[in-house]
Amino acid sequence: MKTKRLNPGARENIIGYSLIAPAVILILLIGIVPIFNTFSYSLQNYVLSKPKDRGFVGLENYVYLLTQDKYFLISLWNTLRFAFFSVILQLVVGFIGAMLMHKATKGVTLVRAAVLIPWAIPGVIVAQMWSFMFNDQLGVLNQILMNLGIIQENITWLADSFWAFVAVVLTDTWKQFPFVALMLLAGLQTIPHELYESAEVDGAGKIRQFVSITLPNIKPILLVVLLFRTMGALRIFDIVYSMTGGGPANSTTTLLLQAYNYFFKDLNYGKGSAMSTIIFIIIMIMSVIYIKVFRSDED
Amino acid sequence: MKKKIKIGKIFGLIFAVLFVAILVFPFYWQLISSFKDPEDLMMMPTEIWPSRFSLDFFKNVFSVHHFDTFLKNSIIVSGFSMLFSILVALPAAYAFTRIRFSGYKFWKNFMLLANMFPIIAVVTPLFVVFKKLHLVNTYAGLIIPTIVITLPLSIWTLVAFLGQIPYDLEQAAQIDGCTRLQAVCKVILPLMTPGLFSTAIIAFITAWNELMFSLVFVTKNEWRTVPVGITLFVGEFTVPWGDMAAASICATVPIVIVVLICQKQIVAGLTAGAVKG
Amino acid sequence: MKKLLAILLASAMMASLAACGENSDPAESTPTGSSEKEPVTITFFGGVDNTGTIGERIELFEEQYDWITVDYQEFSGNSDDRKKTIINSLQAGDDELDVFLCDTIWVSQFAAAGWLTDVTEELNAVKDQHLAGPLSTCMYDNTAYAMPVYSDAGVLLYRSDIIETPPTTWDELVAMCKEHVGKDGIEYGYVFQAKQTEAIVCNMLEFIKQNGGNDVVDGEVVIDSDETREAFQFVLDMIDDGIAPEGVLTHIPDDTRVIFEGGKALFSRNWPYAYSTAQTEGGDSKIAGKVGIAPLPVGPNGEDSSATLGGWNMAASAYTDQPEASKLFLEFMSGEEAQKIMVLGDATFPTVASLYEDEEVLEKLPFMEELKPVLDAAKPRPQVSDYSAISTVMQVDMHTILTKEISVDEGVTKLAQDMKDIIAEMG
Repeated sequence: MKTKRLNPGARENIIGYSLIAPAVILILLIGIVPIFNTFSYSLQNYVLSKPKDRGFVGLENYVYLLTQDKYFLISLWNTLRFAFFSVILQLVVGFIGAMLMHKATKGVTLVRAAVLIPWAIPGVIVAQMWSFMFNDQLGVLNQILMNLGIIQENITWLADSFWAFVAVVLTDTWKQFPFVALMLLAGLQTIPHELYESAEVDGAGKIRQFVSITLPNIKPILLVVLLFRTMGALRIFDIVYSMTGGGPANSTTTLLLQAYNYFFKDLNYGKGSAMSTIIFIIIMIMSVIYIKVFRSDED
Repeated sequence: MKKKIKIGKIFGLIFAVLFVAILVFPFYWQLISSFKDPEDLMMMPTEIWPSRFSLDFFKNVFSVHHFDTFLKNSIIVSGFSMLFSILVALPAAYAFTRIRFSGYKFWKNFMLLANMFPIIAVVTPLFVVFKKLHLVNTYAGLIIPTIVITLPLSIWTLVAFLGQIPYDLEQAAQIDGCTRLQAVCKVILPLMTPGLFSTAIIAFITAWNELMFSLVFVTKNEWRTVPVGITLFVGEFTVPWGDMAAASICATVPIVIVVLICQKQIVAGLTAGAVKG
Repeated sequence: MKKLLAILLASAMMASLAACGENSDPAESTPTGSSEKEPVTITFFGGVDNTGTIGERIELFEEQYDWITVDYQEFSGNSDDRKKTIINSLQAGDDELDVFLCDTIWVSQFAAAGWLTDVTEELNAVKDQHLAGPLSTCMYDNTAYAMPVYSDAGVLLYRSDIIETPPTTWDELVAMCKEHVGKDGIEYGYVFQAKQTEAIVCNMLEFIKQNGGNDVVDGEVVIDSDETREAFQFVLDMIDDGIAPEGVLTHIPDDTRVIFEGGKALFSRNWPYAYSTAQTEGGDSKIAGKVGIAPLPVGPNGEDSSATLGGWNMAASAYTDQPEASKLFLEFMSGEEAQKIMVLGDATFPTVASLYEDEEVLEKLPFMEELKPVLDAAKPRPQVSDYSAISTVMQVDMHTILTKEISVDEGVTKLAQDMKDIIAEMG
């Protein structure tokens, strides 16, 4: 399964670079240039409503965020635990979903299309529909639990810091698991049946088969899934913004929500940019860890 | 032994049905809400199965909110973003898996950088540039930044899929007298089809979900996409649940169609692979 | 590493190139001067025209000024969503945007950024016609940067089929709630909004001011008072006693509206829009024709009913290339004729005082007369140069008190301290 290495030669370099050139140019111009812009803002006292005070301040914005900002630590903690739980849950749900679709024989096409639906609903709407379901008076969740006799009176889910967090994680999981399921399904389908058959002959059990056949084969895809879902989860914004507004008592606020407040509420582009850069650094560290972990036993 | 398997199967089936039911319920709820009569939507306690149905919300979506324009724009923007990112990503992914040029690892990781930055931080500087280039309120002005979101994902996904295909197959074809390009077209692409279409679906939906750029780079009604269009439903204080539910149902229809079309290719690719592999 | 550095440098250079254009000065307001009036088009960013009155007003304007065409673009009704788009246009010095509806809490921020056209002269000419509260939201640094279009203030909605005279004090309110909850399908006494958004600030400032407290006076934070503590305690007691559902902590105005319209609540605090929807049959409302509107009741230490002032103004961008036409449009939209169309169509509060005595208006909306005092007494949120920063700490600290994460006493002390810190930071 492994690709053979060719001697690095000038020809390979030319072919290689010309094949990636369009992608690199696009990413550089549209993706990277504005990042430098933002980075330069983060070193300035740059508040749109105070145009006269604009000027270079070095790392002052970063120092402020790390030492004085009232909500930095709580939002950092929330972002990390949110990313942790929602990525794991998405992985589990997505994997079970992929297995079910992989195993199913009838109506797979329709099921597959149906599974993708949550992902196709814009995030704003997903957040709205879930907060509607969680609503204490109008929500269907309380209604169902009452009908089943599990609760006696309406529960105000989003006013409780634990349940609000759970609600946000569940909502994000529901919205994003189709991506995981689709990717893993495609990965599962590239595994030749013969591998399982011969393992069966050798007497390997299901768990053994999973560890020695399924996992190694879907590993490259697993990396992509983990990488992109973590990058997404660390930038969680719209669901928190419309479901809880960061509440109750600021217990679900996230880094990006704070950055948003700096940018568009306070018009403080200096601090907003510094916050964005911090988010960027956190994501970069996580990505490097993933890539290293997955590569270490590959080579 | 046989009994054990049977019990396991039944449990498996029950689990599967429950699992699917929980995942489907929110969508069911959205669907049911969109077909409710406006007078019943906010009933307390709410009706889990409505006593009467109505198409009023769907009528509002198209007559009051001009949702057809948003749908058209979203299909165009997502379609082109998908197409361009696949076209650009495919050669790049091939280079990353098959060609060991100097610094290939660096460039592969470099692609991710664009996806690590919060979009809200870059819209303002980009807007200034786009304004100068007269890209505000154009399809190009929406497609270009969207590609930057979908491109890294497409490249990495394609790299993962390409890595699954043995390099020997390609070499064998080259020994048989094919050029490298011919080998790719004749051997790799057919084997790639499931991965390619999965990537296409992923790119399409990612583009479909993009909100921030469309919110800022479009200031005219006729260029708005679905996610931004839906925010227009909201009044200063009012949140029209029914209209939004109906709109979200409509927003999923194109996706289902795209998936159903791609689905055939995924299955076809699989059988082709089975024969050749 | 070297390679990375080279790329970083190259990109940084491109970034600085891209950034060059941002500091362009706002176009000097040079009147077009030509007397024959070349036809011009101005672009107007507004909210969603649900009732069609914006279109109606624009049509009338274009009739009166046949050389001006208004290109009206709809934006989300949600203030935050709209702000994002508008900030980006203004920040880029975009001359395409000419005039826009401006939330009253944006004015000082945008004016300080130098984004708004000075309309002092225009506003001074019509000053006497408008109510004082809305007028004050147009000012920044003794200069007018916007013209009032409509106003909003918190009001008490009550079930007129159950309650004959609406309560004027908190005690009366509680007594009525206790009497009627559990009968006629009434499950809750009083519903209001305390989600951790702008909603909790608007609502809590009302409770505080109804009880004689205040937030910021002449730049000094005076919120740390017994009146404030009493107000928070009152709200907490209402939730504990089941007069208000715990859900108010997660509610925004539309949640309140739906609960009230479903007939489950006796009283509700809302913006006036909820009155007209509650009285309309065929939608969510099960109580059409059974709704009364009144000023909010006062607390034990309060004297006057106090409501939070909301609403929208019209502002012209400093970058407009059509200052003359833009100002004319501002004057028109803020004028009596246009506001009358708006009041009759949308049932929003006009800022033109005479409309509260207008026969046609009163015939259609008889409650307007009684509510003028509410609007006269309505108080703007703290008028400091950076309201949004102070709003953020108020949202968090107030929600912390109401979710009982902190005692009322400590919470109010912290609230006051955080507000002082922010004001000190603003300089």
